[in-house]
Amino acid sequence: MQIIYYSYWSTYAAYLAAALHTGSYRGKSPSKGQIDRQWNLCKRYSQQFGNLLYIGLDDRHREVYALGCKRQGDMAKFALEGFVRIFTETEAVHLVKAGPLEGPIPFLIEGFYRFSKRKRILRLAFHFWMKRTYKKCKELVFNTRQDLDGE
Amino acid sequence: MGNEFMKLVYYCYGGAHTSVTCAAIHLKYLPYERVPSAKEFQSVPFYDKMENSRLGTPVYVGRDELGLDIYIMGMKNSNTFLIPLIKSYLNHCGKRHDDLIFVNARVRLHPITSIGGFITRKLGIVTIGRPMTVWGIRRTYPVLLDLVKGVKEKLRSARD
Repeated sequence: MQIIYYSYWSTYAAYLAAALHTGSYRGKSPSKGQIDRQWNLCKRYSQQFGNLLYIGLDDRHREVYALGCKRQGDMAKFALEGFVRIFTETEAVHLVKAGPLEGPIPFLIEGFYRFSKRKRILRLAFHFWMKRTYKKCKELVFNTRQDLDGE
Repeated sequence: MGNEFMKLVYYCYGGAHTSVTCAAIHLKYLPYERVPSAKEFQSVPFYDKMENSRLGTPVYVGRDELGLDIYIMGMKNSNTFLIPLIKSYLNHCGKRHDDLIFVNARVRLHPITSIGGFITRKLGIVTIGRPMTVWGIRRTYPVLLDLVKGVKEKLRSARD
């Protein structure tokens, strides 16, 4: 089985949830190093819409991905599910919406990043966002795991 | 190219008119030598049927004489990320994405078709909207015919 967390940007809430799912992030809150590493990832890959980011395997050997699909999450879901049916008979894909957890901060960061000379403020905004969203993503992952394990 | 698992997807904005017409031409449900009548259009499977809430779903239409499975799909303007998504997914699954061909059927439509599509799909007034879409598509038919002929030619030459 493959689990795909999707949101507008692949490197914000979707990545955070996927990393929590695989166990790359543990603990009650993210460390400074983890936040900085994800910030670097956002700077490089946030504009990769449609490219699946492979995050890793979870404890039950399910592949976990992050996906950025702008506001077309439902369409991406239908398309993927459709092609999974066409091409694979045994594979199953489970798409999890992480978009609602993202909030407006990633949009502000992405919008201002190219023009802003004070990148430090944006980095601080990212720190604030990640600390705030971490708990919510943890809940999402917990519920997703319960749903999947109950199946 | 040309194995039994090849699939060809005609995609357009709503997956209801141009992609369906192209698929119908490809599968010879609609004629090559003349513009079909309105009645012929309305008997084409899936014509003006795709629901907005199901956009993105690939719909199987049939198998052509070359052995390709023909699908239709509505993608709005998201083809720039949906096609890479599908191909990257197949890549991750270890499937050959060369076996999947996407054909853009978003040709320049007669405005009446777009208005008719809006009336049918958004407002739900099929009795007015559908005949308008047919009227518009009949005027664009030669363009769609050329598109399909081009696709078939390329497929044949790739096979040879």
